[in-house]
Amino acid sequence: MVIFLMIDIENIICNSPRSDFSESQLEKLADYILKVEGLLQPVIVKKAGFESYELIAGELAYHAAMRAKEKNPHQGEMVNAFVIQEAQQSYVIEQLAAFFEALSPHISQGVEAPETPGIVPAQDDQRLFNLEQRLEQQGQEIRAEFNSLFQQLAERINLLETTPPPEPSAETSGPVMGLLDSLNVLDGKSLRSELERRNIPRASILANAIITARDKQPQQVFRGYGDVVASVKGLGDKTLIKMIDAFAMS
Amino acid sequence: MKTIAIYHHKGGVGKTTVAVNLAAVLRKRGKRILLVDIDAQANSTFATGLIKFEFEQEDDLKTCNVYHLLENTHLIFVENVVKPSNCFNQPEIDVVPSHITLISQQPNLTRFASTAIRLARKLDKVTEQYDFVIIDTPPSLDLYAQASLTAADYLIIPSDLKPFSNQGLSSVGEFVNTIINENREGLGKEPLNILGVLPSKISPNPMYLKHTFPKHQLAITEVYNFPLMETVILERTALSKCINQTILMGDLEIPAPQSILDYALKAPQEAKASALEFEQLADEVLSKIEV
Ligand SMILES: Nc1ncnc2c1ncn2[C@@H]1O[C@H](COP(=O)(O)OP(=O)(O)OP(=O)(O)O)[C@@H](O)[C@H]1O
Ligand SMILES: [Mg+2]
Repeated sequence: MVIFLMIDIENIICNSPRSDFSESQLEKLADYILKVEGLLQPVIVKKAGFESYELIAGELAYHAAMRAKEKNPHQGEMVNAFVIQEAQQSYVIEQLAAFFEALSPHISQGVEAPETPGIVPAQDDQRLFNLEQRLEQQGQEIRAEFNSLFQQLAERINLLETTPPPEPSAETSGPVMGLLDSLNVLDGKSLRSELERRNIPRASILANAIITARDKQPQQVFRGYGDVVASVKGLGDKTLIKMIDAFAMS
Repeated sequence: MKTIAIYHHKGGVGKTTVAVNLAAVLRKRGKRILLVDIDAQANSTFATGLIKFEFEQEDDLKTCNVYHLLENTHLIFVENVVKPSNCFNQPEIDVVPSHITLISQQPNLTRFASTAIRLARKLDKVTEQYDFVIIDTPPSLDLYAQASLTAADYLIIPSDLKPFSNQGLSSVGEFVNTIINENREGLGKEPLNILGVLPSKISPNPMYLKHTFPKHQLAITEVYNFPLMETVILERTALSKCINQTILMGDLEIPAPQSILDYALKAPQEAKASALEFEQLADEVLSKIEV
């Protein structure tokens, strides 16, 4: 008796290597299987042990279904299968051969003339070609996965780098200098333009007076605002406070 | 982890009552328990407080139940379908629920070659999480019964010991010796160990207990060649009452089932004797299983 069952494809032992078939063909068939959510070309198996089956016929269907399972494990776990008895095996093969023969005249029509040698690769070459194709495809899949992971990682790093730290405090805000630093490092011209930019009155006179006073400081550096008020001619507390405020804002 | 199936293909003999209360008493002794309901009637699922909804759209079990463990090999596992019981027993137990749709889905499962062994395989993945798995089974010889017994190390057969129920015993024996033990051998497991026929729903009538019951007990071992368990679960209304309790929520009556042990804390004079019988059953099971 022939039993028709859905069998876990992982329980089927197939003795023909996948490299017998072209990867692009398997790929296409796998897509067709997934579209229908089932293999319409049942494989023929016999029981080989508890929960294991040996493939008798349907190698192409088997490998296509395997590829379908690789592509979508949620759909491709089981395949339609005829489970035959050991005793029937020769009759089963007979029937399959008869069907094959009945179909083949149509297939071989018009190929009576000997084929040009070299166009059809020898079997071993074909197998190598198929293997190479499969490796190539697997390589591409791995590469694609790697690329997408890499992309994700790069995006994360980028996000982390561009997000500013939460506290933008005056001391740490990089290129924006405080007033004292500006008075100590800028030259006359820059100092003047900085003062002008902040609408400090008499900017040019003030800048000159500051530079003159700074040069008289030990090591040419004001150690604090006290030094500035004490040594810069014509600069009172009021103006200094205005300057401190103006520099703190930008 | 030990797996115990509660099975008889005679209906209404107390399988569910035994399954849920044995689970409850073992839980109270600190054992980590998983109760698997694989009967489409879903009586264990109800008894453990998982069916408290009133309307079908609130049914969260339809898409997430024991069927989904049987339907595939690598997609759904115990952790994906398990639910804690709800106000059934302190402490609560883990439950794999069942659903009425198991009936309509059975034809699918019969087309799959591996259905009968998938439950066993999936339980093999939780051996570290549980001390006991208790399976409540349907009163049939179908695929669900096959899946249950294939997954079980031990079998308890509740029976009222009446001749009509005993007629089913020989087919249970045959079922175990052929299909079940073949499956278990294929999985590399020991044959199913039959703990025995458990006298259940036994009439407390003193005349019956004195004169007829001993003869019925003897028939199990002498005529049917099954081991007999020492514990006897008498027929007592408390056992059906504890499962059929309800509470009022607004004007809705919501099921509020409890284990006989928790019910006995509430209504001692009514339920204490039954609770003690289940304590005894737990003692007997633990001593026979030797954990
Ligand atoms: N020991 C008992 N004393 C009193 N009532 C009992 C007892 N055991 C079971 N019952 C009642 O008998 C009915 C059937 O019991 P239960 O559901 O446990 O049997 P079952 O074997 O699981 O049935 P089924 O074959 O339908 O699954 C229930 O109403 C239950 O409350
Ligand atoms: Mg039941």
